[in-house]
Amino acid sequence: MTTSEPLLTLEGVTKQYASASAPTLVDLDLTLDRGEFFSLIGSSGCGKTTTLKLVSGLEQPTSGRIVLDGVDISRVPSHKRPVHTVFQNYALFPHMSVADNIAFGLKQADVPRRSIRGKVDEAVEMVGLQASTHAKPGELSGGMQQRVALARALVLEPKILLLDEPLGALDLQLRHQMQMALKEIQRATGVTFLYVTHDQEEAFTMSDRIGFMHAGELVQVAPPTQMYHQPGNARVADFVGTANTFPVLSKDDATVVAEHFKLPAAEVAQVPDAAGTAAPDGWVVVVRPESLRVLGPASPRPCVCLEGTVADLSFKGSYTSVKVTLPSGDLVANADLRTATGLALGEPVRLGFDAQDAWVCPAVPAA
Amino acid sequence: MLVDDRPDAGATRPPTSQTTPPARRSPATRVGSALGGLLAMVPTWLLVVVLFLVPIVFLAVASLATFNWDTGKLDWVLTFENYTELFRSSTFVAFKNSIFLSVVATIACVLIGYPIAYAISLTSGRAQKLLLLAVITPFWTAFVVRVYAWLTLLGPGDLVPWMLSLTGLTSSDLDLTYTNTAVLIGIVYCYLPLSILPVYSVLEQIDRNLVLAAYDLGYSPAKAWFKVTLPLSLPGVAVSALLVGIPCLGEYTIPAVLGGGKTLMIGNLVTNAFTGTGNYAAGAAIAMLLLAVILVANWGPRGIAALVRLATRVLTRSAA
Repeated sequence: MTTSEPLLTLEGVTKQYASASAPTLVDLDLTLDRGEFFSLIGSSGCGKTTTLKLVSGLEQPTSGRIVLDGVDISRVPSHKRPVHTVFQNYALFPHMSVADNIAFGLKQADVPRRSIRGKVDEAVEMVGLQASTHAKPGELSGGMQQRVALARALVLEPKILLLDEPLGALDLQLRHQMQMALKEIQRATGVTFLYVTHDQEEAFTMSDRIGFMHAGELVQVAPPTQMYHQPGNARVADFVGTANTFPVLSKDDATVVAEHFKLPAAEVAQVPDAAGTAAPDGWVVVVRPESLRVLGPASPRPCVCLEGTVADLSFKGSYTSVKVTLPSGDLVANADLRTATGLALGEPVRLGFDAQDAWVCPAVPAA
Repeated sequence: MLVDDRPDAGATRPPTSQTTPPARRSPATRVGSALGGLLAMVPTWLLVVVLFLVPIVFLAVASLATFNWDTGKLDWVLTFENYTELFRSSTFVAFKNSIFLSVVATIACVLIGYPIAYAISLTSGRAQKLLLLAVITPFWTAFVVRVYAWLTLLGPGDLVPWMLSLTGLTSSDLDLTYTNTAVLIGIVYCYLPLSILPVYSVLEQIDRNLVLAAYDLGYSPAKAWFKVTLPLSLPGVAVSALLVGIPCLGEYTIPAVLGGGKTLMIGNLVTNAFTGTGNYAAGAAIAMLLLAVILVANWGPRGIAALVRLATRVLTRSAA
C-alpha cells in the first residue's frame, strides 16, 4: 500500500433489521484505501458480516451513505455493483464445472465471448486449479472449493473483493497456506480486500489495517501491531490476544496508580489524547504475557515487581505459558524454556515488567 | 528429535497380550457377523418377494393361461392368444388414451404445480405450514367423492363452463361431463399435490447463498432464477413427472366416473377383464403389457444410451 487514496467510504451507516430490537450497525464511519487489505474482526453478532452485506448490496442500509470510488452506491442493487464476494461456504454452483463457475459472472458482464476463455484460464492458473477445471465443486476438497470461489470473484476484477470468513471451514494447516496464498494474490492483483473474520491471528497475518467491531460499532481501526500493542480499550486488548489487565485506581499527570504498583505517567504509553478520551468505566493498565517476565534471584529489578504463586504451566513449544495467582486475581506470563524449568506448581514466583511495555486504555463494563 | 531417547522404551511397556485380548477377531466371528447382517436382511427380502415378485409371477403365468368361457375359469393350457388378442383397435385406443392423457396431465401438473411449489418455498413459518396443509388436505377426503364432485362443476351452466364462457370462446351451455377434457381435468386435479411436494422439497433445499452469489456476480433476480434456481430444481421436477405420469397410465377411477365409460384407459380394460367378464388371463396380459410399457419408458432411454456407449467403445477399440 503506497498510496492512501480513499476507495470506499461508509458515512454514518445504520442498519436496523425489522426483526431485531436493537440496530445491528450504529452510525458506522469507515474508509478503505485503494489497494489495501482491510480486515473487520469481532465476536459473532458484532455486525461485521452485516457491514460486508451492505457493501455487496445484499442488504440495504437503514440510513447513511456508501460511496465507492466517488459514486454513491447506497441504493444500487447488488448485481450492478462492481464489488464481488467470496462467501463463507463458497456458494459454488453445484450443477456447473469449475470452469463454468468461474465463467459465470463473465458471461453476464460485457465480456466478449472469445476473451472469456482466456480470462478463465488465467484465473484458474492464479489459484492453481489447472487439473480440475472440468470437475464439479462436489468432487473438490474444501481448500480447492475455496480457490474456485476466489477465482470466480476475482476474474470479474472487482473494485473491492469481499471475503466473509472464507477460511473458517478449513483445517489449521490449510488455513495457514491459504492465508499466505490470499496475501500473495492480493499483492499481485492490487485489488482492495475487505476481509471479515473472528480470528484475530488471521487478520494480523494478512491485513494492512484492521477494524475491531463490537455491538454494531467500530471500536478501533489500526494497523495490526498498533491494535495489538495499543488497543483502543480493554475489550480490544482482550480480543486480539491474551491481556493482563490491572484496574487503575487513580491517574494524574505524574503517576498511574494500580492496586499493587505505581507507574510514572511519562514513561507508560497511553491511548492518544487520554485526557480527552471518555472512560466512564475507568482505566486499565494492559500488559501482554510476553512483556511479563519471570524473575530469578539474580534478575535485574524491573520497574514493577509482583509476587504470586504458580497456578498452572502449559508448554506451548517455543515458550511456556505460566499462570500466576495474585491476591487480586490471575496473570499469564510467557516464560522461555530455561526460566520455565525452574518453576513448579504451587511455588512462589516473582514477575516483573517495565513501564514502557505497559499500556493504559479505557476499561469496559464487565459482560 | 528422531531418536527414541528412552533407554528401554520397548521393555517398559506392559506386554499387551496379557492385559488386553488380541484386537483381531477370529475368522469364525467374522463369518458370524456377516451371517448376522444377512439375517437382518431376511424380513426385507421376504416382503419384496412375497408382496411384489410373487404377484407379478402369478400375473405373468395367468397371462399365458386359457380362459374357459363355459366354466369361467382358467385352464392351465399354455397360449399366447391373450397377447395376440391385444392387437385390436380397442386396446390401441385405450393405450393411446392412457399415454396421451398421462403425458398431457404430467405436463399440466408440472406447469401448474411448479409455480405453486415455488410460491410455498418463498414463504416461511406459519404461512408455509398452512399452505402445505392446504396441498395435503385433499388426501384426507375420499378420492371417489372428490372425483364425483367434479361432475357437479362440469355440466351445462355449471362453474367450469361458465368460467370458460367468460373468455368468449365457448358458451356457458357447454357440457364437459363424460369427455376427455373432464378426465384430464380430474386427473390434473387429483395428481397436482403429488407434483407440488417433490418440487417444493427440492426448492426448499437449495442453498439461499447460491442465489445471493448469482446476484453478487452480476445476475438480476430474474436471470439468477433461470440460471441457478431452475436448473437446481429440475431433479424435483423429474420426481414429480414420475409420480404423476406412471400412476396416470394405470388410472381407472377418474375415466370411469368423469369419462362415463366413454374414455377408456388401460386401467379400465384391466378392470373390465377382471371384474366384468372375469377373464383373468386377458386382464393379466394387458397388465403385463402396461408393465412393459412403463419399464421401457423408464429404462429405455438409459438402456439405449448404454448400448450406444458400448457400441462406440467396441468400435473405437476395433479401429485402434
